[in-house]
Amino acid sequence: MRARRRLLVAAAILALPIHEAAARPGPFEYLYVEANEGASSGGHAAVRFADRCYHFQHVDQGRIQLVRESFAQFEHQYRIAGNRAIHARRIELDDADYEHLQAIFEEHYREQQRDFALLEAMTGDRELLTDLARGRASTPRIPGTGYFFADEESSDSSSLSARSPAIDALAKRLRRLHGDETLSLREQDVRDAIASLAPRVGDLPDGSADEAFSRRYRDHLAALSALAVLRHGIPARATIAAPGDGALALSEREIAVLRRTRRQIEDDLTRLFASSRRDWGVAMLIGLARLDVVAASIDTRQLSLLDVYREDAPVVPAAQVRRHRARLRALLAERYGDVRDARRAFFAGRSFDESRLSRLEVAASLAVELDRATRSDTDLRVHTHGFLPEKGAEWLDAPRPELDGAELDAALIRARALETSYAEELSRRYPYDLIEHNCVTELLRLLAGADLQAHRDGAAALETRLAFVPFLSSRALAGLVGQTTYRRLPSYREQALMRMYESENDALVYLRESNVLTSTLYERERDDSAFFFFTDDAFLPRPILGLANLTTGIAATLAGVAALPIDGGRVLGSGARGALFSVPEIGFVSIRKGSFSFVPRRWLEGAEVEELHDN
Amino acid sequence: MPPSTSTQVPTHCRRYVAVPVLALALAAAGCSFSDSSASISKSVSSPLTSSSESSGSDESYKEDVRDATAAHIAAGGDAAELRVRIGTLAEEQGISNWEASEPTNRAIGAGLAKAGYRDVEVEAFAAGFTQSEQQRQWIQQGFKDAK
Repeated sequence: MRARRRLLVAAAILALPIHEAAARPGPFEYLYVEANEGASSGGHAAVRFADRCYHFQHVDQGRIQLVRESFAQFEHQYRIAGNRAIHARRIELDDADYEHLQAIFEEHYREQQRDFALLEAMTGDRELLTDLARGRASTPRIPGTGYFFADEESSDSSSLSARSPAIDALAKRLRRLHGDETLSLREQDVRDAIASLAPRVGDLPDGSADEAFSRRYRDHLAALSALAVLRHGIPARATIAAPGDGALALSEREIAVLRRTRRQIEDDLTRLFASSRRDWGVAMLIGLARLDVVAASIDTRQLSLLDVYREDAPVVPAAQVRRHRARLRALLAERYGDVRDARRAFFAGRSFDESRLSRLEVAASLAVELDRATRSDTDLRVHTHGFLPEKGAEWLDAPRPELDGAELDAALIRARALETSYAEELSRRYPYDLIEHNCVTELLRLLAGADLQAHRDGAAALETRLAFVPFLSSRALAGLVGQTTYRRLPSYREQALMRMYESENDALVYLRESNVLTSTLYERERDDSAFFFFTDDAFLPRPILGLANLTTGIAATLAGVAALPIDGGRVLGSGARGALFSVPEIGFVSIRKGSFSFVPRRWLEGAEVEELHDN
Repeated sequence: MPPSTSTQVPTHCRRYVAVPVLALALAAAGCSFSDSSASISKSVSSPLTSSSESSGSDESYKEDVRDATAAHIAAGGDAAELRVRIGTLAEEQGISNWEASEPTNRAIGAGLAKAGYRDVEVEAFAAGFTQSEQQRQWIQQGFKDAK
């Protein structure tokens, strides 16, 4: 059934008329990313359609997954943070092939997203059933509830004294439209739905993640929380004041825009309340929080926004913040620039655009957090999800499905079996293998399967003739598809050195920047291995420098053995990796280049790009 | 001393030594791994990587919604499945209430045009799919603009 559905969707995409496509937005390029230590030490590969990149990454459980991101994000991750040069090989495609190929990558990406979301839903079902069987008192965090409740606070918060006039006004409007008892009647409906909720575990492999037991339970709890917010007029919490030097104040024009925004949100939420969407609760919670914050901004004439960080956001430890403080402060200037851009875009809109508000919230949250952490030398929270603010809270003593012990036990056994078998199925469907199924082979399989008109012979040969090593694949691809334009985008360190050589004494720059001790560019990163000399810009002396690095690695390894009881093996690991990556340097090959996690993206601007033709 | 980048190394030298050493490197770590340290550096750098990304509903999002709608229609999918798919795309874009999003609904209309729908079919689709008059109008406008 599922396989048939896939075939139907794929066939439908290929059958769609392509003559209606707009003019091609940009080039198609095959990207080879040079090696560095750590992840993808053998190099990496990706394809680029204009501003969009697709590349395969090795994920947990020995699977490989297609990742989609903007080229700017890809470039930042690999050229700056990873300090790797990117070789971009432009391949000429006609418009039909271009759109056809992009549709294939997009559909593969979406299909994998659906498959992995389904596995995640199955895991959620198993965890929820385990909690219910064990009688765990609190629920997992429910997205959106964190803007009104703290962890383990009941959503029956009739004891809360402060009320939000904006939310009260919306509740009054809903009562006027749907009757005085509409909120309590809807609440009873949701409670009844929760009580009768039952796992439909057996249906999931052919279904959607949204139909999962845990997802339906989460949606009902979100709806119940939203109704509690409406009934009690609970004001939003977890808000931030937008940053900027004196830019907090709102102009008359901006206040007028916010008044219009408030009316629009009220209208949208009124329609959402009447919508048949089962997952209306999360959207309602986010909308209510924004309604309250917008109203407060109008009242105080100061811009306030939602804090987008999740409660369990990972952090950059305070020690790292201290070590990189100067660089992080430079990054902060860029964050403020993002806030200005997002603020300008939001207030320039002729009507309320939720995605613009989401971006403004993300930009402001990141800037405020970075400002706070670097001023106080404390942990820096990391934003790891998309653009929607989804701060969640656990709910203590939430209503539960009425399942008896035997039903729960049986459902839990089925859920475990289903999760295990589906996980195995995905491992078979998307296996990772160092040689047979890596970031290169999977890209080339998609390219070879595309049956491109202009490169039919070459593309057909890709799968069998190409090596699995990234830089060999790029070279071989050029041989197969004919004339290509080839660009080399330098790594961050290469580019920074070029600028130094232009304005300073060459010998002085070389000596100063050649090692980690005196370099002004490099700040030692926690995940980098132990080494002393950079060897990526030194070919002839590379073996000698490699020997020095090997010595450094061995010394760090010995020190790490002594420090083992204290640091849990961190120095030992760093030393061992340092020694390992020094060995190729003795043979004239430089893999390790250091990393630069906290460098602003604008430091890449004006990069000198080498244009080459190799066919 | 002039800078000497790795691309300036003689090609024949690199080729002889690179293959066995790269094999060593591959054996050490293989392909790019989606790990937490990578996501930390990525996230500290902000998901807003250009000023155009700060400006919200971009063209590629509208194209995604249009293409997803067209493919879904062509495959004979039902309205509930399409709602889930549009909801997923909208969430990625920072839109929780996509039924109230003009760009999203106009793009759905464009998707119907791409799927080859006629006016009467669009009306029937909108009647079963939309939750409000406003949403219906956006879909029809998107359809007319793309036709």
